Amino acid sequence: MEVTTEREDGVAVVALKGAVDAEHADHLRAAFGELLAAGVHNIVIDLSGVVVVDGTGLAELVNLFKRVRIGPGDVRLYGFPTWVTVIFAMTRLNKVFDRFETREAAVASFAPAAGT
Amino acid sequence: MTGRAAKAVLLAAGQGKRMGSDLPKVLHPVDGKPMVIHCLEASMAAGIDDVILVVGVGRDLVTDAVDDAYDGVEYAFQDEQLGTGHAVMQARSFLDGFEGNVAVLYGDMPMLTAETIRSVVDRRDATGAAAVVLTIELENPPDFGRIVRNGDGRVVAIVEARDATAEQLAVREVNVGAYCFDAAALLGALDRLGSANAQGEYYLTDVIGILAADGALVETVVTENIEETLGINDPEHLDFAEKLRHIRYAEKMYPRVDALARERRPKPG
Repeated sequence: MEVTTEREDGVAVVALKGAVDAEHADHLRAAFGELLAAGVHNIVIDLSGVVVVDGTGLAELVNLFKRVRIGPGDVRLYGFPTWVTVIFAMTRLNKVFDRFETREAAVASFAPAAGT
Repeated sequence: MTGRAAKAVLLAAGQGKRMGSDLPKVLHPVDGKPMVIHCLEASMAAGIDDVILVVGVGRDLVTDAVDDAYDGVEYAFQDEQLGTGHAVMQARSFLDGFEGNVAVLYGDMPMLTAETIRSVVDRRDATGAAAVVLTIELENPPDFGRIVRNGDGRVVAIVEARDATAEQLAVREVNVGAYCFDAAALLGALDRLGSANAQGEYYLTDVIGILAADGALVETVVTENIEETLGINDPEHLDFAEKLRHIRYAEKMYPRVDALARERRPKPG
């Protein structure tokens, strides 16, 4: 799995590519941990490159969401492959994460309270 | 229940102006039930049935809702909103002469579990500390009180975020808002609470500094369960609580997701 992070308008945009699963959970946790340690709390995740996600991978996303949402931040998603859409519907995580059609829309959604 | 006898003081007097509703804050439903009932049930499930509910704004509405659900809850009344320490002072008549544990909990923290309450009380029994504070370590702490420790690692104070120095604000360990006190130690410290702070209120958290300054032991229980720390103060927090409910459902579905993921992965060879 590849994790690529960029900053845009005070928002961290994290692109995930490959398998978001137990095998790569440590890598994902470390990447998210770096963001949190840097004080980032507005995060957009690009899921368009995700080919498979398992329960451990979902747990990492959920844990990130909890850690930023308890404060002033949020995790917002875009770029849903069909298979990931099905998983999010099945688990009802589509009721947890705000989802957007494009990266621009996701980043712009933080505009009123932008800042990391 | 093992250990010393225990009572709980459950603080439920605040109006919750930021909720944008005339309904007393603690009556807002979470998962279909007033949040104060969640808190009451957690206390009882932790083995603390002797609960004193401190009510204030909308007191009749709150007491009616609680009485409809449970018998035996006792009420103390806080007519002026002068802070959390002042709220606990209103329960004094129920605590005078009591020798045991006093858990102090907040009626706007519906996610706090019985297991965690029990662990805080058990820590006091095990250590004999004057107070045990539930804490959590967060990378980006919101406006929770910071846990201040001395060079030996002992807790010396809780400083509210609005009163904290830049150095204190950098502390990652924060006060969740659940305590267990030795009854006599609590009452003695309440007598000495002042209100010289940014809010001009009597902070319960200042009890910790008073006890530590007396040389009394203050212990902590550190939770890693973020959702338990959620205090509901505005509609955003209610929304978060609702999302946490969906997350609990999702977590039960992870094994099914694992099975689907296994089918989806390319087969070796």
